[in-house]
Amino acid sequence: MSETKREAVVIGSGFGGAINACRLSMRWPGEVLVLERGKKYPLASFPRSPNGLSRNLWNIPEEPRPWSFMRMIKQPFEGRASFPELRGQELHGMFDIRSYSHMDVIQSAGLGGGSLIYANVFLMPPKEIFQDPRWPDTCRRDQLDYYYKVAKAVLGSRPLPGYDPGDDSVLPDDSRRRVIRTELFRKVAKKTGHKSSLAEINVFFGAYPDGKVLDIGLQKENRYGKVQTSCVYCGECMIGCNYHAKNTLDLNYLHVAEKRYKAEILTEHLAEAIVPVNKNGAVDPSANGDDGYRVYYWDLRAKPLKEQRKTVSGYKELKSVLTKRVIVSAGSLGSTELLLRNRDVHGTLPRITGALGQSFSGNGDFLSFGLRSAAPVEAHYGPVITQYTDHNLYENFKRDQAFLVEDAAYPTAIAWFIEGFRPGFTRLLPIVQTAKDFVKRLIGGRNSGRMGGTLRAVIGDSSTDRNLVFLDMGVDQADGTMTLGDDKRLRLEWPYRNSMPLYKAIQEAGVTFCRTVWTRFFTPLLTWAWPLRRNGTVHPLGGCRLGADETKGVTSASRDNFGEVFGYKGLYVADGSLVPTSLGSNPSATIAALSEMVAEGITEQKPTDDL
Amino acid sequence: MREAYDVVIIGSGFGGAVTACRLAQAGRSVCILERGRQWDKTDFPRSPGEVSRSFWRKGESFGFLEYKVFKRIDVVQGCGVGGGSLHYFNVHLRTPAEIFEQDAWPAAITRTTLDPYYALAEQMLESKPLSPPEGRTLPARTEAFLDAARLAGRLGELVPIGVYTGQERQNPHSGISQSPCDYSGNCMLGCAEHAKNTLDLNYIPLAQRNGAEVFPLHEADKIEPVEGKGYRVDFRRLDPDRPARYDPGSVMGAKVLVAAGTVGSSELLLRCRDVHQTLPKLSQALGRRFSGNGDFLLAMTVRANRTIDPGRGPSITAGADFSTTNNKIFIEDLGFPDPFMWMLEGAIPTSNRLVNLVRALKSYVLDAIGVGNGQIAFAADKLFRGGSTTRLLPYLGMGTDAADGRLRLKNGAVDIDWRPRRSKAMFREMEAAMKQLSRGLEGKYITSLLWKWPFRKLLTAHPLGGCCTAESAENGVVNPDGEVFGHPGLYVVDGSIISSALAVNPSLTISALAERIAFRMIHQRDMEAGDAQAPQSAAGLGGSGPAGGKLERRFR
Repeated sequence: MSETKREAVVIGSGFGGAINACRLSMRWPGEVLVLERGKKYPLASFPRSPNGLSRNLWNIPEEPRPWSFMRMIKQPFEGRASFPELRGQELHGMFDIRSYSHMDVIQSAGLGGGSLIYANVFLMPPKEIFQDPRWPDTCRRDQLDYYYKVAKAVLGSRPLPGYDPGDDSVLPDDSRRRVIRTELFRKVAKKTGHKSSLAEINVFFGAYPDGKVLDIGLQKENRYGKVQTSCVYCGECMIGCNYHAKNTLDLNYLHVAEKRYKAEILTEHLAEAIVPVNKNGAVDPSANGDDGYRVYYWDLRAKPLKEQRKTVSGYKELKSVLTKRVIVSAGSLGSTELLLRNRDVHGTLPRITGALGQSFSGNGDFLSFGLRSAAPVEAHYGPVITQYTDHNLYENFKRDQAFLVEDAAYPTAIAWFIEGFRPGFTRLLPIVQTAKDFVKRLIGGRNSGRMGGTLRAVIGDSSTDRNLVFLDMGVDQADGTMTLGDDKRLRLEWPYRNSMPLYKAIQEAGVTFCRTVWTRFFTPLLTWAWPLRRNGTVHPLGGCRLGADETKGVTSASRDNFGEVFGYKGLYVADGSLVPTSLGSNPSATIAALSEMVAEGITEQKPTDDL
Repeated sequence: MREAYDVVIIGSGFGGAVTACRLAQAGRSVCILERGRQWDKTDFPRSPGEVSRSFWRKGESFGFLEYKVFKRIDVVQGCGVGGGSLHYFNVHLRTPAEIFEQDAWPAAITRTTLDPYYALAEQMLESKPLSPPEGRTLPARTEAFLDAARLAGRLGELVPIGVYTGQERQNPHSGISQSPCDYSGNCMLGCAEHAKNTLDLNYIPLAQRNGAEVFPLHEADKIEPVEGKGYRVDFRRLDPDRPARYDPGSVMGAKVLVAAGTVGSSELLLRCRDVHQTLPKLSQALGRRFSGNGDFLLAMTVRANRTIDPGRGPSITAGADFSTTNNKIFIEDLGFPDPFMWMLEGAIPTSNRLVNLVRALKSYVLDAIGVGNGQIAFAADKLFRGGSTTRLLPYLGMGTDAADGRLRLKNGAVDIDWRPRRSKAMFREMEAAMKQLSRGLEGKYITSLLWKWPFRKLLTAHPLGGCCTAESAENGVVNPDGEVFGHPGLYVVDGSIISSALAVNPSLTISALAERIAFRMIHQRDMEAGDAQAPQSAAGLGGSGPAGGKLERRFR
């Protein structure tokens, strides 16, 4: 029995995975397989109800694996592979929330990876970031520029329409395109002597190809043939755009890979092991990948009851595929965890260097709030991030205290939940008013018709109207470490103290902001409170960092095998884990550029924005 | 605005929009006065603050929802170009024939005479049972309701609704682009997709294309006959920028159609008769036979045996007939808008929320210090899933109430005197049916909060009657053609001419009556086989906004 060898298997479909899936299948149409652990989200399929959102989390209970993987796969494993389905505790939703020592991480599972929940910002870090000695010489800003340009064109970044990047007195003609929040941040930046720039966001406003902005809510095919809706300003980017107004990866790179170049995409499939094969085609952990790999993965889909009974009930199926190359792009945590497990637990990739898991960075993410602002905010309207205010990053670069302050919208559902949750005494006044009206009507028999007024008092002036959200990110020390714990699961240590100057500067900027606009309270996320001192990040970076040689990193920074794991041939990493330092800005653009470089090294074809 | 029109129509709900369209198509010059604003799909409220500001409060706020509180009954109605269609739940049911056989109705109006007009209105409003949009199935709420009806021994069915579920298109009547329903459940808060076939997508733009002029923010105040010329309508021009003030104005109409909604039309005519004394010959029956259509809202099943997620999908999808020997009763499933579900979720404390919170915190802390089992997501899921809104099925019941309410003026404002005494038996039967449905879902039945002691009151979204249709002025205000007794050329066309409760959602019946009134005004006869059925349709129109409407965000 001879199994055909695929040209490449891509693990993960985030920025790294999607770009490699697309570029590699352009080179080898029909020969690329993409494994994605999450589900596929077609138009309007993101859940919105309380119940739906609560089911939209990722949870695969991981039992400690006592068995020897190598012994297991050497015998026929049909029906014996064990991946116990723990009594309905499995969730295959989008949000993967992890809580580690002094660091919480939110990442996304689903076809399109992080792009499903990201805030669409396409931002290139300043050249000073790449001058850090931890970055290899092949990754200077001017060398990356071309790849930034390509990714930007594919992802369709543009600033909010109607505003002028240079002149904040210019307002959109169509009042529906006015985002009060953006205007407020720009005003404050001016007052406090900082520079606020309109963020270039990967949101569909109908700009391609004629440059004309499409009216709100109208649909049109994008340049890759997928129908998208011109952004409706609903502020729900973070829980998945039900309008396909966000330029997520499944609407460009992945769409082209699947439809035009026939890449095979398997969703709800979780990669477990990568094992090199020898000349005879048998798995052999001592091989170096010259003859390819066998990738083992779990099929997580719920099987029909009938089939379940045939095998051991409730057990998942382990499958495998033979391939020449493997591109690991399972996200910073996912890729690092996968490689760590293959090196230390399964023993299938023993040659990976010791730097694996080092230089983790939360990208300096810091979430804070300004409560009860005097100025209206309308935090539920418009794309999640629309501008960034520069603090020592793009101008007057100061490595310890460089950060950006970005505005944020959040879904109205949260505001409604808070309104419901708010304790009763805050509504005393309207309740008294209603009672008064009721008595008046009883006595006078007069209809006051003030029900609207009561409702207004009860739910008016609510959290989205007056509360500010600050998404800050900056240059932290990038000195976290990821290891496997005794139970063979990922551990993350985050020495937050080393990055304290940054967090202090961020909080000071927040307080200044709040003072400037008469906002009553400023508070970081509650988990930051002493003694917890926990950071949260949505931008995990590092773990398989690039390096000039084996002593400096895990993956090669040489241009012809960019991203290849030292010690192996044909095993690549392409995602945020390549990044050796914090970026100070939203990382998706940089991850996309680095991934284009990985793909270029593999395919030996210079990428363009024509897919 | 010109000085005089052939027809002046007050209000742009189902009555006003339909007649305006047909009369304009027949070549009459038509003017519509609407007190509310023009609403674009992006104007509708979503955040708590916006919703609170989207209510209509005279001289204060110019929203599209009006909640009127009376002693024993509350009324929800719409204002804005499109009237009640902006916030209604899209159901288009033909009224059962037996309803028209009651003594309250004149002999000229029967189900048979109305059927061709029903067909016409259905065609314009594109009502059909829900066919799920691409990639979706029927909402869980629908399935649950149909099952419950089956277990109760009744035939549940998908009701015809005016909700668009196909690919994005331009509405054939107006060219306004419509996206398929996104199951957001926000029908009541205004549809941001234009998936609801509201009147401002079909009848009103069609009227405008035939020359009708629509004047939003014009509130009619007085109707006065002018010898040989028709009627003069005095109105107030409202200005949201100066909410407390208005500019007076007036317009002449050879014919005047009052279509200001049940409460609005009766109030206007009562004021003309009793305060302004410009229409003294109006019947003494004016304001009588008010009915809430037997609406019973806010009743629900809680803790059903399955996930229902009532916020998902069009707000009404299915219904079942629960008629008894004495009364017609129709019960439908009801969806609350998603935002309200979130608010309820936050407000209703659940027994195990505290336990789950502690569990989630424990999981979080254990993970943080490195001895957890990585199940934080599962703990978080349980924290929210325990909520009571997931397994909740609200109902809308409608039935033949006694229609014995009375609209009157009290201290210059409209008041409704309505007593539940003679309708109580019907409501008891309706609640029994809802209990039966609850049993089918193994849940607990909860009655409307308002219906409980000490309020003992109802909430209606379907006010009817007040200017009832009758053979003579002793029994009603208008004749079967909608013309007011004693004042030729003055018509009433809206829910107020309906003489009894309908026991189904009335919007299609109001439209059919309006189609009939318009047809008889133009042709002086009833519709016959061979009359052109298909209304003119628009071709080559573009744009997402209402024709001629100023696009502007509200709530600022």
